[in-house]
Amino acid sequence: MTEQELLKALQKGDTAALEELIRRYTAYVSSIIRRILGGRTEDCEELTSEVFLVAWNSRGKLQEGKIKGFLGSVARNKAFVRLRGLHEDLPLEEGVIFIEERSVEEAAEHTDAAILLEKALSQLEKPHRELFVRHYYYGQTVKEAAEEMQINLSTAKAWLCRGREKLKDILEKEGYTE
Amino acid sequence: MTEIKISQLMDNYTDNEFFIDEESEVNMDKIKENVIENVSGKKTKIKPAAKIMIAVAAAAALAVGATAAAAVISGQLSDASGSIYNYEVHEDGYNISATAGNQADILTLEDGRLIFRLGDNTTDVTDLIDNQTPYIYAYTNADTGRKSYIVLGGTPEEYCMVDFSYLDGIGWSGYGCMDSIDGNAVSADVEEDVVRISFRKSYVRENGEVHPVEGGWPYHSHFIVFSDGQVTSTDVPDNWRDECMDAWLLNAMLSVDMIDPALLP
Repeated sequence: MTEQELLKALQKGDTAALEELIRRYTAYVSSIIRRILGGRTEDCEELTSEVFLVAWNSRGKLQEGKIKGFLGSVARNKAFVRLRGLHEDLPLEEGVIFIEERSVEEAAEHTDAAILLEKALSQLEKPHRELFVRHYYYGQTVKEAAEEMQINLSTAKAWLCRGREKLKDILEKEGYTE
Repeated sequence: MTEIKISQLMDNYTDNEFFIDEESEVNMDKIKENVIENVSGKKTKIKPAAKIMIAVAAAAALAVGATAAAAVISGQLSDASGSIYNYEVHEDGYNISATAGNQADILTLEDGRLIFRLGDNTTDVTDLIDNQTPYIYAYTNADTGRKSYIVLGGTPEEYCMVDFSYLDGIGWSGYGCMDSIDGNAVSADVEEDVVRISFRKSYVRENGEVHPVEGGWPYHSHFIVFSDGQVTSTDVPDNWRDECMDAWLLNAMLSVDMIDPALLP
């Protein structure tokens, strides 16, 4: 079944398509949640189920080519909300960047944030990109990520700094608007 | 300068590169079972389902006017039968939970008979209802002055209850249907007949023909909600709007296409 067929079946309310969606994306969704929550398997199962329920309830607005991104985004949000519920802060290294504002006229056509992100990340070397993703997408602490990647902490911080600069650069150049 | 939260921006990212081949440590069959049971309505029995859905609708209604940002809304409400519900709308806008505190047995199966109880009223409705004939109990909540209807239908094998009332000018409703033998949700046909047709009849009888208007505010396709127009779509938090509008369109179609005009009074 192609993604287009899957989407059509989902939008018709076909629960067999929902089962197929679960079969295809459980590993992906649960992997995001597990990485964010750590080893809480029970939470992971519960939240993974909730993600697919959200997908089902939102099936009318799912778009071809964006199903995986949608599931990932809901999974992240649910896991972060759960973390906050457990009073565990998200330990992000400089979690914000500031970009120059540009007028609507000055900015080129509004570019999809996903495309800008991909563009920025693709300009990072693979290990730098991995660290950026581990930290800013999966919420791993810099220390944990550095240990798993077997690099030292100061190197990791420097790589993240470079990633932020690259992102800022691309967003400014492309006239990113929220 | 514009402030960009990187973590928020990363919502637009999809990992196709780093952790894509990891084996799932969760039990996929269990997840599948959980999700399918939930979406097919087989997980909850009539009273919890009805009450929880009502509470969810009310919670959604209460959320109208809240800011689009991350406010968490929670509180407690009660319905005319005295049941109390706690509800919570999480800040992602998707995660809405409602728990019933004190369940009231409004429609119960006793010795093969369907018994309706509300306040001092006790009625054996077994011979008064079927899949096409509703029993409608209309009342006004003494505390709130709110008009409400309870619509019962079905048979002892598969029966339904619709609980419908107003909340501050916003119509809202919820229902639960169950098979009295195995406790699972009733068949779609019975839902269609008893819930949609009988509910529609009861509403039209009291209020005249209903035309969904812009600003209708259903949360879920199972809810048939008719707004009086006081609430507009712009009052709905941003991250709810698409879903609401989808559901609204669905309900508009239901009201036009799925109700047999010959059945209307």
